[in-house]
Amino acid sequence: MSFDLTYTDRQKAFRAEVRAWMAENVPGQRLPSLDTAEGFAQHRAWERRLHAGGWSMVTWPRDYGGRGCDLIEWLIFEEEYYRAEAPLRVSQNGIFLLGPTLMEFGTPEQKARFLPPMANGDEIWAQAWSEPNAGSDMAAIRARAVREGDHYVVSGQKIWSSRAVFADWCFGIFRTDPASRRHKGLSFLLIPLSAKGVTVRPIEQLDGDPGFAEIFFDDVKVPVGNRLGAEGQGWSIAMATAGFERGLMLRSPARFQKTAERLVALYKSRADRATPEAKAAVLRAWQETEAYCLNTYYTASRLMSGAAIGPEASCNKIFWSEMDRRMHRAAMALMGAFAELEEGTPEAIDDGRWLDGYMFSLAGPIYAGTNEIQRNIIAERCLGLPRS
Amino acid sequence: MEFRLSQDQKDLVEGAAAFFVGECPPAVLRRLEGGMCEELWSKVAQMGFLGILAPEEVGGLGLDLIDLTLLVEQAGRVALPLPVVENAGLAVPLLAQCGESELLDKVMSGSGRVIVVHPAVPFVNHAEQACAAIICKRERIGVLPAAALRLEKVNSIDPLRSLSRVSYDAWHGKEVLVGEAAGEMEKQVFTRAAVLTAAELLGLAAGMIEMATEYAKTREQFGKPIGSFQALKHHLANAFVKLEFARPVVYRAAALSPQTSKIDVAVAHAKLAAGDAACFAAETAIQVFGGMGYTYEADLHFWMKRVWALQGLWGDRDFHTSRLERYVLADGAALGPGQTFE
Ligand SMILES: Cc1cc2nc3c(=O)[nH]c(=O)nc-3n(C[C@H](O)[C@H](O)[C@H](O)COP(=O)(O)OP(=O)(O)OC[C@H]3O[C@@H](n4cnc5c(N)ncnc54)[C@H](O)[C@@H]3O)c2cc1C
Repeated sequence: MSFDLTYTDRQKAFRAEVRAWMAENVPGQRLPSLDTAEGFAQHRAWERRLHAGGWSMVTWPRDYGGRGCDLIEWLIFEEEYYRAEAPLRVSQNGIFLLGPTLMEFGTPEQKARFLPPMANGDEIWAQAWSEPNAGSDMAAIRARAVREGDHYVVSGQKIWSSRAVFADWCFGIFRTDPASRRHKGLSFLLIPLSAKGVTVRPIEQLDGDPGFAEIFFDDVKVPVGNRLGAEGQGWSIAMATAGFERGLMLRSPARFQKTAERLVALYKSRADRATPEAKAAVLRAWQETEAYCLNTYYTASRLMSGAAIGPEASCNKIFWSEMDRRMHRAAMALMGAFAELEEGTPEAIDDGRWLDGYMFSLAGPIYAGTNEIQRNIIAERCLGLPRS
Repeated sequence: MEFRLSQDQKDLVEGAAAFFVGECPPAVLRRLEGGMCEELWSKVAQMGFLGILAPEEVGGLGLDLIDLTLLVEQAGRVALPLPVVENAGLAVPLLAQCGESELLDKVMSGSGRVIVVHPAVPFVNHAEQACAAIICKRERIGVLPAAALRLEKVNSIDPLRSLSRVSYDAWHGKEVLVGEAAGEMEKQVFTRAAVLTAAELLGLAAGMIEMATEYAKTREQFGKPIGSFQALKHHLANAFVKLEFARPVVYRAAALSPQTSKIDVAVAHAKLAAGDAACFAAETAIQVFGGMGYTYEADLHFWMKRVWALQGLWGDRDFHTSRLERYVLADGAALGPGQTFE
């Protein structure tokens, strides 16, 4: 039977188990933003609690602190996670992106060294891809890593690194062959942000918090053992990581379904402002989040039966980011004059969460590869149109 | 939980695609215009396609609505101008259920066609050559011989649809279902028809995206294929994304049993999503074709016009939107994470 759209008893039992644990453990109060020192610390504490409960990364093998769950169980877990309004994952770069990359490309020693502290919140990771002159054109990166015996000497600059201000480590690609151009001669390195010669300069985001940072490397010594994969193989590993980011893991449907549910509630609470456009936007939100969920289960089922995710991961990224922006825009319209009120203002609807969410939704079409770049990928790799 | 095509289904899709592309290239559409291609119809019957939903005991393939959905999607890709949905999707299961074996054999073998007259559809496609009509009313379902029907021709913008207003004076035929059972059946006919129409819309969208993509690879302006220009790439990518996200919505609706509490909203969602994807693909395709797209000479128009026709059939946008609205805005509606499946 290939179409069985009901959960098995085992899956239902798993859901019940997650639900019970979340009900006991999810903090009753919303944590402060993870882009502040205090919020970051509280989120790290939450990661530790999740880990202690065995819920840090359910799809990982047990040896690394996981439960060996399959993708459907992972989706169920995510549904219960967002249903319980549990905090955002401050460890997301590690657990969703570097983690799967390490499992695929890491040596046994690297996996043993890096995965457990990633799962338990002891080491939180930042991504260091972008450079001031290598954003969309990531192959233009210039930050260098020069081999000297058993280590590399790293110099150069990265930028827009989310949570680097508070994180412990970063991963990214660096030019290990000085004579190389574009995609060649790059290597994937794991670098502690506490290393000598690393300077992290915070950059305030739209909301005024230091959500990302510039990272300067000034002759930083990085052991060769911190290289993931072979020297010069950095680009293809980075593309695999980007695939995880655009594909399933970064944005599970539950997050958006929760937003759509909240939007319906907001619409009902603002009956006086319920214009036909508002109603249409609310119905659209439900349909799109539902479609996104169906698409994700469809993909997960295929992956579980041995298929690989291809360039269509770019479709996902476009779909969720633009849907999220539309939902938040609709909420802003429904709130009218209350839309501008910040968290902490007594009159702020939902304590300013829609405003936060709206600002963050504007970043969705930019990070993880802008949507323009994703459209190019779809046109060239899914449809086979010629390169410009 | 398992939501993917089986190997058999992938084979079905592949086989159907090859068959339709081979037997129904645009040249066939051009030759037909308004008529009915009997030769093509009997080939479709020979493939067993018309008996997909009929049990094996009566000579059908004993497959389910998902299989037929996949088939109809492939039929849509070539804008197949045949009433497959009406016969394979609506008439066949109805006749099988009511034990109308003689008519059933006729339909499955391709030697006779049946029309379905249902309150949701004011004009009936290909009624002229039908040998019988199944009349669906809320309280009774019956079979009328063609002789008892009066047909008045109406013109569709789709040159490959041949529409009639169908009426009959009295109930000369045979009642096959009455009362509650008839009401239930009438609803099921509607559900199946809406899902299959959505599937055809998906196929039409895919066909138009393919056609426009091919054109964009060969047509040159400024010394290069127009498909190398980013503006066009992005138009086509947008159409592709919409289609990719409509497909599982339609498959889900096809996979739900008609008794599920969510069936109506799932079907409404399917029809809306597929309709949107198809309209968007049509508008994108004509833009990619430029002036050529605005002609009768380009094949594109067959696909576009079918989309316009199917949009309003088996529940138009308003109808399905209000079903959806009733569900989403109901007090205590089961929305949010974890509510998509049971
Ligand atoms: C909230 C947020 C978090 C981020 N976190 C991280 C992080 O943790 N680590 C990290 O390394 N980076 C991070 N980024 C950086 C992000 O990946 C880049 O901003 C993104 O890749 C775009 O690069 P850019 O900013 O240099 O813009 P540019 O490349 O300068 O692009 C500007 C505009 O031009 C368009 N454009 C550029 N090239 C093309 C083209 N070929 N065709 C069509 N349009 C084009 C872009 O789509 C965009 O609209 C983050 C960004 C944001 C907003």
